Amino acid sequence: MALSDRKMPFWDAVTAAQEHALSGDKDRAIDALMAARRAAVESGGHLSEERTALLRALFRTIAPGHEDLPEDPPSMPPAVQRIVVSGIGRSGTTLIYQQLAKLLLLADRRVNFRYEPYLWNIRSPEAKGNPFDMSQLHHFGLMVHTGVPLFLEGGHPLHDPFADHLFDAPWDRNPQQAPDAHLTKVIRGSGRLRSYLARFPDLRIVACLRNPVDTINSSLGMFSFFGEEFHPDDRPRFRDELAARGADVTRLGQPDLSIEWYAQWWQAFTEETLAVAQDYPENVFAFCYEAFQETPEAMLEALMDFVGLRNLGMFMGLSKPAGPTIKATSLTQHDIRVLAPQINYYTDQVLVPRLGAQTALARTKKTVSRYLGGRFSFPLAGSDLGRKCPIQLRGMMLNGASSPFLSLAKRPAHPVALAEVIAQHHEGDPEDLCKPAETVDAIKGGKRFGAVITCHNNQSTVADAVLSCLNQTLPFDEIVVVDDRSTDNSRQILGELEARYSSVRVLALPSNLGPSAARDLGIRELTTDFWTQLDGDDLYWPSKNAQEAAALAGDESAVAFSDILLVRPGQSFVQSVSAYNGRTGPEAWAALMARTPQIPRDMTLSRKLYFEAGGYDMTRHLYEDWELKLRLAARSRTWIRARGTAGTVYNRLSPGLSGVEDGRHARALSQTFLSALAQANAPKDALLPAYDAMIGRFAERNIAVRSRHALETFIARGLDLARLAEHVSRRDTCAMDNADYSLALDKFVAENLREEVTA
Amino acid sequence: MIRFSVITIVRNDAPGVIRTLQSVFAQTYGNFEIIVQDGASTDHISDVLRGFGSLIDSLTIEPDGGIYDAMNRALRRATGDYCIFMNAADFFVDNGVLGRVAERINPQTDDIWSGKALSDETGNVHNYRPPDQFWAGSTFDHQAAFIRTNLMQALEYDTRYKISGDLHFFTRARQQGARFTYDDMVIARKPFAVGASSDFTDRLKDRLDMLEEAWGDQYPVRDLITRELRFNTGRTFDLGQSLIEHMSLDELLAERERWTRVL
Repeated sequence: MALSDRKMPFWDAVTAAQEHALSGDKDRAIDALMAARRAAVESGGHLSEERTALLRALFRTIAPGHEDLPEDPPSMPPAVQRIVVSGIGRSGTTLIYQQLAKLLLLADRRVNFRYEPYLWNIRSPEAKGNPFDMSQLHHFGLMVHTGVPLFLEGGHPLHDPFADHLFDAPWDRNPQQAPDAHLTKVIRGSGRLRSYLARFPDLRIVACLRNPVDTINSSLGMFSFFGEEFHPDDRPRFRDELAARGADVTRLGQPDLSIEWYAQWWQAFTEETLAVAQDYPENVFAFCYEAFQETPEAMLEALMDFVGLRNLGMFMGLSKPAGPTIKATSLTQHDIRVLAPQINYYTDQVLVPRLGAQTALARTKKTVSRYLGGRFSFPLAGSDLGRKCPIQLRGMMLNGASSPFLSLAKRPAHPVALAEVIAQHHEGDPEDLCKPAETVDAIKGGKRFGAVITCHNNQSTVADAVLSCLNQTLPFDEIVVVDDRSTDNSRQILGELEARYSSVRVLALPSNLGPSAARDLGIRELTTDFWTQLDGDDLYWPSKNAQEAAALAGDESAVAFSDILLVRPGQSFVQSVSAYNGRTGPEAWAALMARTPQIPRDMTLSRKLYFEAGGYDMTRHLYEDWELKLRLAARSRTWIRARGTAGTVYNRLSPGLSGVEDGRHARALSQTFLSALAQANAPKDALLPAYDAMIGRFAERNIAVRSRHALETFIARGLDLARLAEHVSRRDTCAMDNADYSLALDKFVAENLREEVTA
Repeated sequence: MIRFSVITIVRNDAPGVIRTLQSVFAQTYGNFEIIVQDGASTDHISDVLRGFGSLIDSLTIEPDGGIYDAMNRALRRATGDYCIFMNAADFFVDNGVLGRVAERINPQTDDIWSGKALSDETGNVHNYRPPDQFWAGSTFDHQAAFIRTNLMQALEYDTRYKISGDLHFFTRARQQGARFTYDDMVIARKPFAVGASSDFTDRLKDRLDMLEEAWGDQYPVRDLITRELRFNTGRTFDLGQSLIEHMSLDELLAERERWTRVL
């Protein structure tokens, strides 16, 4: 049978009555209600409790004076207690709801419970442990919320039946048994408190108040004030209603997640709550969360007096912090600044009257500084200024499920404690070290600076590597993170950072290409004049960019670098690279060839110089940095050591290349050395000592011996070193295994000797 | 000693072509040339390719008329005995592949010699039909096929095709009497990025039209492909075979699209 064929005269008449009432046609609405009553009587003479109550509610709303229903309602107990716990959210409402529920149950009373009925269909004294998923959504509640103004003072044809259903409905449980009390917790209802009070003059409201910083921060990880998770958002009507109330809404521009919207929402409803509390002192108890923390016992005494329930259990339950605490801050320093007016408003209007000026100010200062200095306080530099804040379904939080934001926020600590390392090695106040550079334009000299971070399965360190770039005293203009096909959680973490920082871009490689190709693609992705690099498990010293930019003074043919702060298990120390300071390019090249003394790493130089030198050799997976530095040196004009304690905090807590066998080390080192011979003119007598110093502990390997022999022969006979370099750089030579390579090298030397003889 | 021409076509896939070339350069078998055709990419790839310098034997960067036109242009420059198309993102499974193939190919008898390719995503061997079902296509992948260069140069790819030009070439070669050899040797890995469903339909129809035209008179092309699609559709979308048993190929494709949209 099709739906339209079913005979439902009662419900059709009820629907018609509501529609007429909504369209303002009161007479036809009354006619329809009368028809509904007739239909109910005709359907067998029995009018169920539910239908009676619904008709009563509708008559009271639409046509007062027509309540002459056939049967009297079951006798209600005289002292029905109606309590609503109201708040913006994240202000202790759930905790108070649960504690009041306990008290009501302990008093052995039959209670109707409603938990956030604008959203959920949860009718239990236990908010936590309920499945917060789509199956629990209260569709009628959502319809009411979206169809009713956010600010409501009097009656409303849609909202009144909803309120009745919350506070006067007998049909929740056994319809013969009227409840003794009703307890409802609402959020997003702070603007409709006057409407509730107009309908139920005996209503008791516990209005929760909490400071804007904690409230908004906590909500940002959980849900949106504006309901985007569940319905077309509240923003436009919120702005329109505010404007109609005469508020300044010029800051509410784009409908994104910017902090300004949250600030306005918090303030509008906090103001309204305070005003209602003032107008209805008998009905409203303003439960200030901070005051509760200061003097919990006094607050609880007052609260229990207010609701007329006294029980010692209250004290025990309320001694915990409110709600699931997020041990991370979603707010950036920018956000804290934006919230300043709200912070001041709350301090003046709520805290000072309750706590006294001194305590109030101290509390506010503590709250704000906790965010500015928090472990996960996002730096301002390069941030998207709070426009992108992730929202998780609160069910995810309450059920302990994970999300990209949470895995980022709760990531394990970096094995290198940067703050400790700074405290140990920086002479002076660490706060001064981290202060933003003041003469930014002068330092940068009109140039732009970028950083390339490479990541391959660095999930436990890469977030801090990126943050160490963002926390620079001189911010990088661009940061490109190249994910070299990580198989761990890195990509998710990086995606979350990219979403938050407009200066961070992630280049996700579809396959693992190795560090040289990854860095090269990252450098190409940059559009800056200068670049530097960082491995995904290392960190930057806070002033790294500032000091190297200052050293360069805009010179695109120079290379700037800093000392290296090496962190090993149980110790950390600065490795000086001062031997390279002030060298010309060729001098630096000669020093690099010997790989001693300590070679600078993660230098800052121009992209122009990088490309002129030919860039990273993407076919190399070992000593690729050294090989590039040789070519850079040959082309550069001067090498400058920047002033500063360190540039890179080099994480050697776990050994790096020790897994690579010696033969491969010897091959990469000797081959790179020989291939570099064509790059610059070095004094011939310096080459063999440089080779010996460079090859170090791998000198005994056959390939190292054969290479040295070739070099020695070429030098001794005065043969062309460029030809030797060309030979070892050939594609087929490079592809040979060590044995073939050594044989080919011997053969090549022999051929050259023969040619010499022939010549 | 057999000389190979490895041909790589790229357009706007820098990481892919780097992966391909890394695997080509590393081949220990010395007697090969690498020919790269870049369809005037708009990303960094042209610069990257120039940066490889003499490692690439023949590099051309120019606009082309589609992938098969680009492959033809590169092919005309090939000088090796056998050529293989390793396009951007395809790569050899290890650095000894060319050496092993050189030992296996018999230049006297093999016009087209094919090993197998793995899926880059799963590492599984791509599904092939047995060689005697060549008329249904999918008997091998170009990433695993070594083709006598002068045969390939004589036939070239038909640039009218967007997708099935490869199969079309192998079909024409067979009809002209080329000798095929199949081998179990694993040659390369290739990404099997799954395209949109409409893409699936277009590809299948494209192939089918081509194969029916070539072999429809001699072999039950449409029938086999319909049966395979029926089995595959039932399995992929968990549909009872009785539900789709009597569906024609077009109905099956429509059903597929419907379920793809739903899922």
